[in-house]
Amino acid sequence: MLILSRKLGESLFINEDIEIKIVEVLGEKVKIGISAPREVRILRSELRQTLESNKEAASSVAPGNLRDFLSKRK
Amino acid sequence: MTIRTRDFGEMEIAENDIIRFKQQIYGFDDYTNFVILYDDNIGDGFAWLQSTQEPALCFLMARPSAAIGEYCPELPAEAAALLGEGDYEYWLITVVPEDINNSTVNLKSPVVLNMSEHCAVQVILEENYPMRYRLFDKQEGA
Repeated sequence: MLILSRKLGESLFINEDIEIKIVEVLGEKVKIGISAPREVRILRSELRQTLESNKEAASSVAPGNLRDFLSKRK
Repeated sequence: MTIRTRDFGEMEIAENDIIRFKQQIYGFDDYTNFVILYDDNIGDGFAWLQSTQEPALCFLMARPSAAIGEYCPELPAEAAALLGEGDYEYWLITVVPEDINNSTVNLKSPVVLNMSEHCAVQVILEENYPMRYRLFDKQEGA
């Protein structure tokens, strides 16, 4: 992973058209401003991970096996 | 009304049984309406979250008490605003892999139900909870 230091108000570019700017730093929280073309999809990582975990949950193992497993544990 | 379910064939449910998601389950934006199916075979700690729109879409949810000792997350204000006043219930979406012993629950993004308003949200908490928390101890069932 590329690591860069930036100060409040400074920014960086990815390609020609995506700008990422440090807008506010408050204790442990950093506010980031992103200017990018509409088609660029931006997702907070926890949202993306939640989405992936939900997809896995929806395709979980055969309910029959699970039912057997859980009824034995009760 | 009659719905089709993944595991229980056709079922008769009341309008009141339907839980409407005001913040959809992430990745499943097209599905807002679900019913909770309790199942003696899986015990009190678990329930099925069955879509009323898509029979094949059914999640296993765990009560926090079935997974972890203490779980008192702080509900973000936006989520509380969507849910309205009432009694909230937290449920954890469960990922069940081939080896069921390795099942995990998502503590970071619980489903919060308001039973009095028949609505729900999946909320991503601010707090630092794991997305994949082991549901069963390694030793158990060995």
